[in-house]
Amino acid sequence: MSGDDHAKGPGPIPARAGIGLRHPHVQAFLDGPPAIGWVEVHSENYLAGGGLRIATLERIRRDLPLSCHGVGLSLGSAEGLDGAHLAALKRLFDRVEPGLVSEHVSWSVAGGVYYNDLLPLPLTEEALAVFVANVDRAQEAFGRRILVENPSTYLDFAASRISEPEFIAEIVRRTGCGLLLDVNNIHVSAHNRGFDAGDYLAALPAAAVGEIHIAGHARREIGGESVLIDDHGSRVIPAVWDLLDAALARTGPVPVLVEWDTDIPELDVLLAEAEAADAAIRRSAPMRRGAPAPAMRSPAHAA
Amino acid sequence: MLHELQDRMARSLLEDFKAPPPAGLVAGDPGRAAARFMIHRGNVVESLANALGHTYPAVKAICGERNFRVLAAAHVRATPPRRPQLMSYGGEFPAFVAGHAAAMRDFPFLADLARLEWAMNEVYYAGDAPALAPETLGAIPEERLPALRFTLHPAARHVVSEAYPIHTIWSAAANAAASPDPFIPTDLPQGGESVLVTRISGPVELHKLDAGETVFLGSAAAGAPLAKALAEAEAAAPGFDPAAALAAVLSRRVFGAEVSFDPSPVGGVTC
Repeated sequence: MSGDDHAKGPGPIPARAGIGLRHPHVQAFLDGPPAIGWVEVHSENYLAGGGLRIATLERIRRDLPLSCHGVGLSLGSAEGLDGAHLAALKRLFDRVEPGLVSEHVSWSVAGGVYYNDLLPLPLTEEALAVFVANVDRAQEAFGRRILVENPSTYLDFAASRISEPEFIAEIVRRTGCGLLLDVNNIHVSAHNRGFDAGDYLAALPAAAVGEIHIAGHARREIGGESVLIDDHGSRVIPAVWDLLDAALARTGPVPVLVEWDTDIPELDVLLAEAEAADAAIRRSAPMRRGAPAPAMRSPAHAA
Repeated sequence: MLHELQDRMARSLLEDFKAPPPAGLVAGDPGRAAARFMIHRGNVVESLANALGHTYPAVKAICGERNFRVLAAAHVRATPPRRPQLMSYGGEFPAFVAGHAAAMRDFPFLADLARLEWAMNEVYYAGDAPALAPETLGAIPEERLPALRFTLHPAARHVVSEAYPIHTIWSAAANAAASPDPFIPTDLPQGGESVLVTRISGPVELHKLDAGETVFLGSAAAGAPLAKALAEAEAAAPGFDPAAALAAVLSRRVFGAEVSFDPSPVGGVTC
């Protein structure tokens, strides 16, 4: 890896556990950084031109490596990306210099309206081509490689023709982007759509994984059956910890993020989850001692 | 075609919860497909209504959580966001509230209160910019001061309600406990209130302005030269203190660093 790749690509996020920076914990971070490897924020919450919020992030950024996780770029939109939004994100990245930039395999914009939900894509050749073109455009606009996250899903489209891991692997292959592997999303989608989580995990390109997400989810009765809802509002369940171990066994040590977005608990609860994730990362280390960190590879399209 | 699928799905996401989802889109048993589609319809409308609740906490407290959900969901369906960042969503909500007959009948001050909260949101997220410094003002020769014109700082707003005491209502509602039921503020003063919304060291601050300050700021922010703005304020409020009013706008970072001079009385030099 050249020094140039390091400066432009995902790099400074260590292969340790991080947590999402959420409003109720900001003061605790300002009082002194907690013992975690890094933090992640939702990019769209920090697009203000000034004021307290962005100033606070810049302050925390001095203590901890930062990852910017997007929720509004809508990489799956047939109408293409919003140039003004790309430019706003680029300004944010120039300002806070995140170690990782990520987005979702989903869409949330149609007809210029933003729906504020990570909507599922039909798994077709056309959707794949749209997604690939949008990732290419985003990576070019940002001047860096991004990671894309496997979605949590509740439904299958009648039009779908490709398996989801195949769809995602093909995005990675064609764009050179990395993979943000969300093992809670795999568990949620496997339950909701009736596939095997282990098979799904095995079909994804492990070498492209630059980050893993873990989170809690909710179980609801919908239409007379149990549906898992990806609400990021509780502790990680044992089955998802097992999936994390299985994922780390394939990837070796990579950064792992504890996501918690609703019913946000005391910071100590998040730190305890992060400690458990750190233990999982350590367990995976001997399997891959000496192997290069997978997130450090150059983008294929820039080679 | 992906374009068509996304348009159909998107339109349906904003329909009433009872409306059927688009036919043939989702695989499997139609009942199950509909139930699964509804998860996304709920996500969209509820998350955007929640976002409005974060931007309009006092309006939400006054309405009560139950009424606010209905009001906010109606606005989400009528005017969904056009930009993928929630901080810029909700600018049209005050006008929507003003046009909502039932809400305005129960709480006639609600649209003015919403205007105040939108101003607070704009000030919170405004770009950083230098404010007019006392030294800048002090360096201007005395004979040129009457023609001095100001611009409002990007993180300053002036919100006036002619009829309702919105500063008093906002303060009471901001301290009210969250409740599904409406919060009715009591012992309200008669008449309207004028509020300066600004940001000095970071947090958003509200300052209730008296009659003289209101006229001075309204006039100066609209581009009137200093002499005219002060004269109007003195005419409107006999006890008006020009020196105190100027000191207040400086310390509260109301005006931007860039000033100009009105060309008509003393020549057109801009600095």
